Amino acid sequence: MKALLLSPKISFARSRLSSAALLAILASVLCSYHSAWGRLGENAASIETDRQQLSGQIQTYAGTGFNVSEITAPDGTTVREYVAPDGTVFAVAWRGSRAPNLSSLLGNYYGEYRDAAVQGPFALHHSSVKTAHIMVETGGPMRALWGRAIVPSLVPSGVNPDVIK
Amino acid sequence: MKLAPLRLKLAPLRPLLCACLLWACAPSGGSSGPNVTPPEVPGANVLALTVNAGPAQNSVDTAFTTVTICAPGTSSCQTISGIVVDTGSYGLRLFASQVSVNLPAETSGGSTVVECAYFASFTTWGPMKTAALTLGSEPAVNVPVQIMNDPNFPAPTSSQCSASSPPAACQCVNSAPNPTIATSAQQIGSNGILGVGVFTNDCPLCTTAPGSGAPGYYLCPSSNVSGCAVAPVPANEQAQNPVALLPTDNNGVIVDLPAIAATGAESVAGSLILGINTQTNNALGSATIYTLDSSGEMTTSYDGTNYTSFIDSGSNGLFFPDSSIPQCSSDPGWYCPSSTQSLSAVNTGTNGATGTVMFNIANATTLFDSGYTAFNDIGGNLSGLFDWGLPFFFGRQVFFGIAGQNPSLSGSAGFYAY
Repeated sequence: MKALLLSPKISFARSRLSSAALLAILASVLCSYHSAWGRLGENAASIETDRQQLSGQIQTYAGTGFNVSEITAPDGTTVREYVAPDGTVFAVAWRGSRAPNLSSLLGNYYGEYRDAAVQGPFALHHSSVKTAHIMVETGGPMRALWGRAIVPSLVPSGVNPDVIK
Repeated sequence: MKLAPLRLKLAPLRPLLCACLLWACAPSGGSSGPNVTPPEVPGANVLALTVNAGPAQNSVDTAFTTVTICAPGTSSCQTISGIVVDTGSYGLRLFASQVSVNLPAETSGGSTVVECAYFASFTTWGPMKTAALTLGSEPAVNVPVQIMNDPNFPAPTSSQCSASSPPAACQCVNSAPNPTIATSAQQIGSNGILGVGVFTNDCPLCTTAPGSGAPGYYLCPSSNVSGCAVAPVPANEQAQNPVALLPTDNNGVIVDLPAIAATGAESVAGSLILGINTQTNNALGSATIYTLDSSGEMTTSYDGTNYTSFIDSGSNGLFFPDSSIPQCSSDPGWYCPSSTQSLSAVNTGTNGATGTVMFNIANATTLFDSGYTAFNDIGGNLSGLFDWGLPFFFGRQVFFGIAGQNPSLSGSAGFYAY
């Protein structure tokens, strides 16, 4: 994958996943199902664990075709978890001056995300990582980080992903 | 995977030819020719900017400058080029491999102060050291600088992080937005990052409520990352926007890049001007001030939706959501419309100032294939934000007022003006 780093763009470079990367991703997905306690793709009960980890307050509200649990940490960081009618967390979004713990928020999808993200390309204030199962975007100036992660296959039918932000 | 396009090397006559064209045909800052070099802005408060492929030869729409650092109180100095000018962060960060002078580390109780700072797709880890920094021909100022990828303070490895008792540091304990630690210019495209945005330091939370994530400061008693412990660090010991420390010209910066053609430029010269309304060369003039919120952001309305937004010399495109513009097949994430799209958006500051910006989005793959490095019309998809990156800067002076340093212009808030 070294050739990726030689591509002419610092970000969104002409990245294509090599077969080696695909194998690595596949391996990480298969292995990670036995490790982390998950959030994304898990049931709504897992949100309470995130709330405890953030020492946050939780508010819930209803969207059209989904529910949102919004956790606000003492430092002002907010994490929104989007819950489908069947109780599955299909997306998370965050905003704040400090990054949330993605390895817990992304749950079983973290390994797949990590293995793709470390291949680059790398940029200062915007990033978009797409894998076979998950899309993760982050951006913003320092002290104002925004991001979201979506599992497209879990988004309830009729829900526009644009509402996740 | 496409290989990097070959760069056309024309006869050495070209610089002369271009200079003639620019001086004769476009003395106010020309917009034609592969190398756009307007007359330099004179002044001690000016740093030269260059938009080119950078030290890793892999960048587009990235503005680089050169800084001089000395060991404080000595004549041991060096200049480092290939530093990206980033109005989206605060403080100077240099790769250890670029630093040859002996800089003293910040210490507390015998431990070294080490920072974990985040950027969108990588994290920087390394000790804070004090450098006497010279910007342009301004007086040198002593400033805490983060030394990235310092072999004496290695970052936790992914295997350390996944161990049963991982180090309580950086991406191990509270994942940065990404799992990558910055290790080289080849990786991130620059020898360092000069953060000259609208705040004076990078982590106000870290002064009283140290967190274990990013950004976070640690005290490390030794090179073994397992011994590092999160700790509060006063604002003046954090990574500092060095502009705010200058004796004068300390209230902000102007990024000044000339207009370029829609087809781009092979390289572009410009200026980073220090101070606002402090010299004859940095007058605000008729620019409109957009004051910013406590996060350093404003609002941009695009296609009927309001987005949190920022103007950022450290972003190498215009990044915003528009599902109607096709994305490139060979350049994932970038926009590749079949014909150039003429678009507009409305910026609004917290002071109610509002203004429409017209901009174009052209086919990124076509432009990249030219081998040029500067474009005013490339962009890509980002869902929840509107990021006015470097294409926004060509052909206008953009002012960045530091929060708290401009009471008569913006109260206590930071601002953008253009």
